[in-house]
Amino acid sequence: MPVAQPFTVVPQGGLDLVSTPYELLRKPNVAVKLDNFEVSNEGGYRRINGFTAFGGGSAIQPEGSNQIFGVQPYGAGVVVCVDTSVYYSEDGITWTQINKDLAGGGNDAALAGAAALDRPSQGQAQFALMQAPVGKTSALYGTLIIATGADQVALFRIEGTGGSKTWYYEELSTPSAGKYVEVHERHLCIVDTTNAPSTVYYSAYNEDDDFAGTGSGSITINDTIVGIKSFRNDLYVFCERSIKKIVDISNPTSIEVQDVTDDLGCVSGYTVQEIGGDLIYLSQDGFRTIAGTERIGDIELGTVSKNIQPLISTITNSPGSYIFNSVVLKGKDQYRMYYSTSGGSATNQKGIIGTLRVDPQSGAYRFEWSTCSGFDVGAIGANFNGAEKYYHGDLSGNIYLHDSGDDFAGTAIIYNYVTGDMDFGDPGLRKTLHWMNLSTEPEGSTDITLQWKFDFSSTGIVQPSQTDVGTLSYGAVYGTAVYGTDVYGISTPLKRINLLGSGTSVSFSFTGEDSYPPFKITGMYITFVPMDRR
Amino acid sequence: MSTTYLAATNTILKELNEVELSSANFASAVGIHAFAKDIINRAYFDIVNAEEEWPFLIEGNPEEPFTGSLYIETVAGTKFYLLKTASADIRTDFKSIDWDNFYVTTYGVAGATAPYTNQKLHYVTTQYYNTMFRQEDNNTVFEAEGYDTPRRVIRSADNRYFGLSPVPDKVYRIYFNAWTQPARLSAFGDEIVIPDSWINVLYARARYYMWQFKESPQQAAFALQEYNEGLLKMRRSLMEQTPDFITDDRIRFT
Repeated sequence: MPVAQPFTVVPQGGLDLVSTPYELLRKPNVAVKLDNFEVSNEGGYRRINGFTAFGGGSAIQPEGSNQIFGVQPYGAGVVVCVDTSVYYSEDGITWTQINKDLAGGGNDAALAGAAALDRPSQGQAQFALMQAPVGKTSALYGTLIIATGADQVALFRIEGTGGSKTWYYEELSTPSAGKYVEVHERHLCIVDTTNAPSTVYYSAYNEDDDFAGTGSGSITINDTIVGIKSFRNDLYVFCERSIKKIVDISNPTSIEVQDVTDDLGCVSGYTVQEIGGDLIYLSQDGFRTIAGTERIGDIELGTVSKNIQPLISTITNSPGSYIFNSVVLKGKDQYRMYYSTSGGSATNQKGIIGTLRVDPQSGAYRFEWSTCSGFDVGAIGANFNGAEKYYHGDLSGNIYLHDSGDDFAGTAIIYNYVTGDMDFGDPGLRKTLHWMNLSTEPEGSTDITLQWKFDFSSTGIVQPSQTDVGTLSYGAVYGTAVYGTDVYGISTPLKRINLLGSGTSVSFSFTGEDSYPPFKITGMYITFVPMDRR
Repeated sequence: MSTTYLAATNTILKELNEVELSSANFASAVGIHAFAKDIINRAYFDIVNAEEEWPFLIEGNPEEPFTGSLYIETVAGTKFYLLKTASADIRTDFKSIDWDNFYVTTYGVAGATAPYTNQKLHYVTTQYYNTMFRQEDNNTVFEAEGYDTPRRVIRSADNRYFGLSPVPDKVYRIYFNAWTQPARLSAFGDEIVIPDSWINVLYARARYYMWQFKESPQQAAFALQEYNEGLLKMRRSLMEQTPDFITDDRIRFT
């Protein structure tokens, strides 16, 4: 008599787009679709947070529906580059134009009355923060360096707080433009791709505006630069076909350029981020880490995104089609890269999420990947210090609090987690499913739909219809819970779901389109009965 | 309302925790769902063929005051009559005929008046008929005055006709009982003629096949036992009890 048998699935490993269907039979933990989910660094797959309008229901666009070129938390607010202007706001409702002729500083009235310094060639922006450069040590927040392409590099800072603020804004004459900026060992480093696309300019020590004094200089590299990033003692220079590093930038006698690799480059400097004690960037063959590239060279093993290589290939085959942005969510050990298309609908804008997790087999850290869609990201920024804050601006002039809220500023989140087909150990044996205990960690109400399909989603057989997972118990949240109604202390509730149907293999999908709080799927306990081999 | 083919198939699928079919995908079912459809038909015919004279398969209605459910009117000078009118071949003929209950009458025949002819037709085997009556009947082909009121009934070699002896001399009504052969279930709405109160016997048989398919001989054995017990109860309930007497129709002793 057939005896019901158990099978346990622990979601981990993230998205796997490279394993064959038969390989996936042995990898029930990975997902073949994991959209608008993130691999939780605490285990399981979590539906992502959404984003909320900066300014809430009263949010105002800084300058109409023009594409946001740059957004960066600074001081008590956010700096935004849009059209030919730069704005600052602390509430998302009132925006103050700051690209004014105010090198000597001025109060609110002076700022309002100062002449605007239009930036007619603004493109995608990059920011750097330099704390206490020479002559500006009283600035609480440091100097924010703003580079937007063919325009002059701007220096912005606020001294004082509240109503006694003093605003400073000036633009550098040398170099005459700047697209990439970075602060490395207290030198401001600039790449002017308009006039000298292979040259890195660096300022005098601890100077944010002196590119002629002692300690300043420039280094030209035999490749076109697409990004720079300070990492430990070196300034890494990401080029189209190579990666270099500038060492000893503070020592004129020993400063030099060293090759990291001459055989591959970086697709976009806006993909470079520091995470997990390493630099990650998008190369032509996938995401790579600097440590891995230096160690392994240019062989494909150096990529950390092998599991999503087909997706990477679609991006790197036509990088010019996309607006790249990236950010690291430190609290989640998470790297996010967004690749938006100009003119594309918001719902079709995509991103890739990589979470750094410990491989349970090897014990080493590795990236586990998922995707996201519906993020119309024209620019994204994280604060350089203090409590984590993330903002992004879209292609329609809106500023959002990133990774916040339960939907996309009022639009429901469409999410989809699909496992590969799993055979429960024997791909030739028909199994009749009986029920599943779904382990979840909901953060509020949910509306999840479960569907399972047999035999590689064969269209030739009758597949079960989708079913609602139903109500999941979740613990009370202080501040919103109602005494006597909500339940305290529930963790990892198991939801029993009756299954039906039979096949040699089965895949499960958890989907939904709602504005409910996120939830985490942490496990599946499936009961099945082995049947025939016909 | 009788159980439909779709409902019966879904009952088996549901018992085995399989996905149910709908009227939309019933015709195109494949794999285990097609097998479930097949075994409903197999179980159906297993029960239908388990007895010759299931009451739910009787053709026609009893015609007062005669016990036969069907009648055929004879033609003067014609010996053989097709049992099932307009049946093309044996596949569409009756499943079973009660040869021991043929009855001849003139009652109801157009123009017939009292006193009517009323008598049972005795069934004789072909061998007996050939030995005792064939020559006499054959002579009537050439001498029409040999026609008479039939007293015996025989069956043709292909089982599709009944013959009368003597050959009728005028129009009579021949009453008899026949049991129909149900058609194979095909469309989702096809109805199963087995009464709903006994449909579980069909399910037991279908389950037996399904468990065999699923390579579970123990479960199949349980289902077979349930089927056999159910069939026995069906017989006891639906069939006539043991006859009052048993006749010995052997004609030669050695």
